[in-house]
Amino acid sequence: MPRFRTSATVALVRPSGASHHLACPDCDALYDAPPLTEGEQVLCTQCGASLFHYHTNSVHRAAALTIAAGFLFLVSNFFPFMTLQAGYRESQMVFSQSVSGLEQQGYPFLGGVVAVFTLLAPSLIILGLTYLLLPLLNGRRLPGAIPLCRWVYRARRWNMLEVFLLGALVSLLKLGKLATLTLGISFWAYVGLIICLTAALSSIDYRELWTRLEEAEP
Amino acid sequence: MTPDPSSRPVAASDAPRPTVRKKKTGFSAVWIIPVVAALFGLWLTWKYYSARGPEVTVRFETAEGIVAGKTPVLCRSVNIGTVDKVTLTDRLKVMVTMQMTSEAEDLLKQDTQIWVVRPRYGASGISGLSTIVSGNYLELEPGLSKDPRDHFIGLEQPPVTPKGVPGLHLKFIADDAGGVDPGSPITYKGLSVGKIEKRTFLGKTGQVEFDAFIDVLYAGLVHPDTKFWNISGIDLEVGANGIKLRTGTIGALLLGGITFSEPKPGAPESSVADGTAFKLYDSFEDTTKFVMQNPLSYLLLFTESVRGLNPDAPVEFRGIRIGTVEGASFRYLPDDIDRRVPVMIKLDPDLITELPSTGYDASRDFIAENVAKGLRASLKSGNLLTGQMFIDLDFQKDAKPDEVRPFGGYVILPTAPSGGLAQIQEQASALLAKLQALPLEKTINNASDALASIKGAADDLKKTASGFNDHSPLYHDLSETLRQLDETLRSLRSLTSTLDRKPNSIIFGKPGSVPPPKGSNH
Amino acid sequence: MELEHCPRCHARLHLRNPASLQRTIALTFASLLLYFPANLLPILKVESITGAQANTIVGGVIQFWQTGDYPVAIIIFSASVMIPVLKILALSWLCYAAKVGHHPHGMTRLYRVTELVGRWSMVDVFVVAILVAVVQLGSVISIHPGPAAVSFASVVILTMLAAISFDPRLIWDAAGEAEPNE
Repeated sequence: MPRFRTSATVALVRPSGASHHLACPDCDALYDAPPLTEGEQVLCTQCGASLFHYHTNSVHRAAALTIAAGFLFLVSNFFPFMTLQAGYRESQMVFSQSVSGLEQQGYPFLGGVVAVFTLLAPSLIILGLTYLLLPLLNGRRLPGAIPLCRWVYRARRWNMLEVFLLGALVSLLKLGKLATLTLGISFWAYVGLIICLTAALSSIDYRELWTRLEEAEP
Repeated sequence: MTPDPSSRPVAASDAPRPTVRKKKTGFSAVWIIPVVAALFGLWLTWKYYSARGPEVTVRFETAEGIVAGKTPVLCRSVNIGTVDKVTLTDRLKVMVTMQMTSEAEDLLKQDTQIWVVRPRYGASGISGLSTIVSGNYLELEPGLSKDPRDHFIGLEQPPVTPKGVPGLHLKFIADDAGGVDPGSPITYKGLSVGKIEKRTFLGKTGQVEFDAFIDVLYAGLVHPDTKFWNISGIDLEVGANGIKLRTGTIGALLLGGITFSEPKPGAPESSVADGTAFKLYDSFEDTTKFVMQNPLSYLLLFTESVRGLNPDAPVEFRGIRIGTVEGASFRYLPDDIDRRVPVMIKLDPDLITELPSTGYDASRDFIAENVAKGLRASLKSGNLLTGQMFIDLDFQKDAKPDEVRPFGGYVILPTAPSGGLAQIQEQASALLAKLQALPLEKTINNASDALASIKGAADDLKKTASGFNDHSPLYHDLSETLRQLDETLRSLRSLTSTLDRKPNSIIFGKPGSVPPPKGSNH
Repeated sequence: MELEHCPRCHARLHLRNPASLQRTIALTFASLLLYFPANLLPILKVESITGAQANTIVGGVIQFWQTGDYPVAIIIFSASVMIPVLKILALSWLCYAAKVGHHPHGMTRLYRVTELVGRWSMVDVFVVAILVAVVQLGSVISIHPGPAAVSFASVVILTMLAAISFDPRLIWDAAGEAEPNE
């Protein structure tokens, strides 16, 4: 029997949807799927993996945070991310220039890698979640939602916005002695984006999302 | 508190159903977050666009060193914009579009000047060296006009003096540019007090006009009667007064320069208006030449040879200069049996009338009166060594009665034969004594030493110059300067034997100015 | 179970990740090979008026250490040097564990940590991307990526792919075979 962590609310969701069984993705232990209330979490007794977490107010929270992340993503891509000053010269960097810069220097592979990790994967997650979650607020599901949801969760692994943030901070320190590097306005939008996107993803368990998508009217 | 999962209620079949109220899924507090994010985005957009100022275009001849998206626009070293794009117009000019910041809006006026700061070698020395490191940039000098403007024509050369700097703007008119360029310094007693800003050739008169700027601190030194002269290059003059060698500083020698005379003691503190034009003399000597407002012209007719009588030779009365020789002609007068040589002279009426000066006609009458009393002109030898002559006006005791006669539009002033052999003998003996006293050998040695070191310096300079790219304008200018210097040196060498002054003191300063060697007592 | 599809998400179903161990071993080995050029070749070329300079990853760490930026030096060192090595070691160990089946609990935890931490190795690639984009001041100073950046990014991507293709259930399978009571 899986362990529970609970808080008391009414709505019941079975993590496995129509099925009555729940398998641990790590160790393959099989469990009876318990119906849960909001705030409850199911853990694997064998390996300790979190099998399911039924977050409070999950769909609303995830949808709101996704839209916030969308705004911040636009802002952070539109305005200068960093400004370098050396003498009188100023060089401004818009976020996407980290990709085009590498390509211009003859490193299209690196540019592509950075583009996938910092532009493509995040935008797929944001757009995909918006497409999935907004109709779910009314209990509906739009066409193509099922394969899209699969892709959104695959893209999660390749979304490296927070790693890029660390890279930006290291660059600041690295150049500190050579020239003055200042953070542009979009940097702060970028920090907000990371917080919102991480929060959005962690505010709804993807098994819950599956269950809700299944139950939603097409 | 924790409900046992196994004890969860299972729907009972018979029990009445309670009212189930669906939890309101309306707006929860979470939706504040995207609203805040959207507001943040809007605020950033507003901030970004409000910080953007106008977009202006500037036309240049060349876009050398201007990079779209990189090159900044500075005003007094403050960044006020960036070059947005660089395009070529259909007339092969370069159109530079600049995105200015909002604070630059007030600086874009009708007379605002924009130019590219890049490394330059010019009359004011080498400028813009810092741009080798920092890259070129556009400099904007705000105008004083009130009307805004958004299209400019860029300056190819930076203006020497920024607009609005207090000071005196003057114009100089010269017959010859004489190595004076925009940027050449105007010095006063060795201090730099201003600069030449612009040089234009006046096609009508064939003269050169300079726009000059004098710093406000020194503007008071310029009076209506101030004389400006060129101190560029080496000024060597051989005349009736001997040999004169004048140079400015080595800097002025290479770069050209202008200096001006001290105000006359007791001269009234009269100020000069902006834009006043002054004559620019070629040399200091020129300024001391006679500048006569209304000269009296006279024609002299000599039976002797006028060899050695040059234009500008002095006309003296008992050693006091009162006029200038205008020129001698080889054309004999048609009805003159003696085939006398005509010589034109000009006399300054202000110097020859009785005090107080009464004017042009009074002077003319005065001369005529004195000619009747025996005033005659004669040729005199001014400097036997160089053979220069001058005109001497004096009263001759045994002069035949004569008078001032008009002749074909000219007025003839009667002449007398020059002193003859007695004078020559006297002067010859004086000369011999002088020659003995002259430390000629030492002078020549010093002069050739000086030449050798100048030559060495020139060679060094040439070596330095060869390091530059031989297509660059800097190299071209430098090699041109060196070539001129070389020529000057060559002509100097041929004149060494006749030098009667020590040029090395001009170039190396007085012996006392050498810094004392440092003591090594600790 | 061949070519069955998940009724929920329509993904193809496998009992275990196909050829999991083979793929993991191949990808891990490839990343091990690339790890050497990634650390030996310069990752950054800095051209400034004082001259050109090529930085390796370790060189950058040493530079930070010498200038006293110890936290940054530690971050870069762990992200760029330690994590890839540990990840390669961990993956090899996991492959071995999947064969032998010992310590399934610890191994599963190790797998989770490996998956979680691996992405942070990309930090050096991003530093290169940012510096290349922002530091373009012509003759003053400009930064170009070095060949190691490509091999380093490949190391990170390959180890990530290796971690994805590894199926942790194999450890439990092997453990179940070794000790049926576990």
